Amino acid sequence: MRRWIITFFTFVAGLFYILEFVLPSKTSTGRALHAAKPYVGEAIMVIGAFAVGLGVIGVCRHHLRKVMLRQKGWYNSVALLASMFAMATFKIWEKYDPPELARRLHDLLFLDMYNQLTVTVFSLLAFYVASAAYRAFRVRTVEAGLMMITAIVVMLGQIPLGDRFAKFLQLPWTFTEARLWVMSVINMAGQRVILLGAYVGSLAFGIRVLLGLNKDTLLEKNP
Amino acid sequence: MRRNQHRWIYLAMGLSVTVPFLFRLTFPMPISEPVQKTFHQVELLAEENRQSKRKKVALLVADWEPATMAEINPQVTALLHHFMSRDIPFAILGFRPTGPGLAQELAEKAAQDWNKEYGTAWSNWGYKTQMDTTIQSMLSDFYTVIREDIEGTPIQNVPVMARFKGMEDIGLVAEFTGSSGLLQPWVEFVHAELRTPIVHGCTGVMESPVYPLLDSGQIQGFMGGLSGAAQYEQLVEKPGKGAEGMAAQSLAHLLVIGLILAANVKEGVSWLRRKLWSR
Amino acid sequence: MTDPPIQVLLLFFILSGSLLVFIFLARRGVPVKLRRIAGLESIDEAVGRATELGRPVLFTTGLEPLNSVTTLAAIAALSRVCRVCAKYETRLIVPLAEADVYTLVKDACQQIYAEEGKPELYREEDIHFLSTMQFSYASGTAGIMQREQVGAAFFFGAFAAESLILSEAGNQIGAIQVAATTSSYQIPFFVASCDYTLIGEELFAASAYLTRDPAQLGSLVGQDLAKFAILLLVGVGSALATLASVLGPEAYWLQAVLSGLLGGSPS
Repeated sequence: MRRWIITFFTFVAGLFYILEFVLPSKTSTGRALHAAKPYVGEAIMVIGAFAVGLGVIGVCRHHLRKVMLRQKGWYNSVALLASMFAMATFKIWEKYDPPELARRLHDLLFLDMYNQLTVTVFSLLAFYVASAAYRAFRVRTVEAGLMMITAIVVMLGQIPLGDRFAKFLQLPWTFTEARLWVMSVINMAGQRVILLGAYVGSLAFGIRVLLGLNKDTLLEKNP
Repeated sequence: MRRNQHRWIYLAMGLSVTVPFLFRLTFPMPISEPVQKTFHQVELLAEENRQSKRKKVALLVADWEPATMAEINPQVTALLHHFMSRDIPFAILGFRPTGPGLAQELAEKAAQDWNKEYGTAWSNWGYKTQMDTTIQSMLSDFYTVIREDIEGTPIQNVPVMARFKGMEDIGLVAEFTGSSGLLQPWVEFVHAELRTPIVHGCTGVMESPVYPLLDSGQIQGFMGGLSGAAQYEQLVEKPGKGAEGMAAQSLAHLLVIGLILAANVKEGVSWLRRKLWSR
Repeated sequence: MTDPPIQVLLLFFILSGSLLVFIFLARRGVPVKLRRIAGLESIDEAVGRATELGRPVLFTTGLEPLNSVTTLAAIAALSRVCRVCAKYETRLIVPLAEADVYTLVKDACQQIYAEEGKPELYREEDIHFLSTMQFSYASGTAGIMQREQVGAAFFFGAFAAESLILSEAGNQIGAIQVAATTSSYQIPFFVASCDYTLIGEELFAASAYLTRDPAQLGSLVGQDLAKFAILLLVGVGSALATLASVLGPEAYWLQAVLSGLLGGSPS
């Protein structure tokens, strides 16, 4: 019974968007569906907001339990809960004619701490790219060799020294030109192929979900 | 890879990125076609505004977050200098919470060089959610979605928006993001319906999927990563963080190339040794 | 709001039609053979290896919310991994970046453990909703991987810059890693740092591959034919456009055919 209810609502929701896309706006039904689309979008937003609330409740339950039972890493949970409530408090307070202190504390937490932490984590990528390049780019096949040459050409084409190097080697083209050719011809073909496959795949998956044909996605026992 | 090898690689990367900043080296950049096209598109808008009584507004879509501001901020700064130098009025809008605030900071900083002020040179429409729905609503009835700016002023009272009627008065959409999926709605809805030119700014790693859009004419130009920013700074003759960062990027790229070659030399030597031993 | 051109509608009906026809045929018993997808075959191997080492398994579904088809496809794969973990009595840790995915995954995992006859092994505290913010999620997941010393890690879904952070964290602890994503610009990073990588639509094929359900297998055939039809269209269009540029604007009939195909003036 539960499965049928889920399938029914999934089907109706998907059918709305398919009909809205397919029916011309000259027809009365088409016009009605176009007009209803913003409201349906808002309804989806409201349902999503409830899910966010459930997520927050889940996070609080999990971490409060950890703190109360003094489980491994409980102090991380204290930090999480304190920062979550502090950020929420100062941001909500900021909306209601707050003193300068509230704005300053919010800026301290968000701009000075959160933003900088985000940038720091992102910067790890520079180091990880270097270690991944050293570990993984080994030329064991012809294809790997081609990939390595392409990678070097693209990297040299990205930097100003690359063109000077091309001049030094007396190449008939610059690395900038070579990079543009690789990106706009070879890379573009590959991107289009992947995108094509992904979009057709997502269309197929969407139709399967819409018609309730996708087993083992939502509480369906594996045959 | 042995555990302690990581540390030497990380140390080398750290030094290659930080040391160049101590010397503030800059190099002239060759200008790539996508960046040149972006510059050209802004020049076209400036020319159109010069010849028309009613100026079209450029829309700067600020969809980046602090994590990617090292690459995106120099791009946006260079573009803002371009807008202000050509007297192109612009508006800021964002679908990421941090975007409009970051863009506002950059606009205020750039405005000091051109004697421009908020309200007369630009307006900030703030952060909006539900991107697809918002863009479609803006197309059908702009003022139901954009009612006031970030300071709470009714939007029609902002001087730069006085003669603005709707999305047909947008002469250029410049979308900047470090995430995926945020450019497509502008292409699908705004460019498809109004043929509004779109230019894009993204991080270096996000460049690859943008080339098909440029090739098909769905976007008119883009800047990728710090190198795109450095090139645009060169075009607008306002060197900044993009140009400064290129020395560090150059050294880092050379390090990665060196590591790849070193790893393969090591692999080759091991292979030779195995061959000789087996004999 | 403009309506989509008639060409787009026709293409939509042709693609959807081919999918529905082959789903129908497969349900009628027409056999479908699939090629081996190494990444999906390795799921049992990866979980088995983690079990032998006495280490937990980690599965994460990426950044997109529940209304993304990519996330739904990832959850289909998660169901399979969850069943295998329940069968082998291996701990499964699921860090997530979206609250709506968290609520669904929590219930689904609990149900799967109960169906496998091991409800006592289900641990709610192993399903984490970390944060919707990209790098908070990435650093949280990397931290969990390193603290728990996971033996196998599965990255299925839509990922952005954090892909390399997650996969390098797994590499540093020697975990066997399987990735599947439709984010084309992250595929190179996963290929470089994971043991197996599923590219693009192989993620959507995962559900059909793992369950061998006839309807889903039929849809895979329909997808391949749909792609073939698109490639044929691309080929014909390119040939006509090339011919048009050679013959010039005097070939009115050719210009009309191209306009009909493209739904407007050819650029």
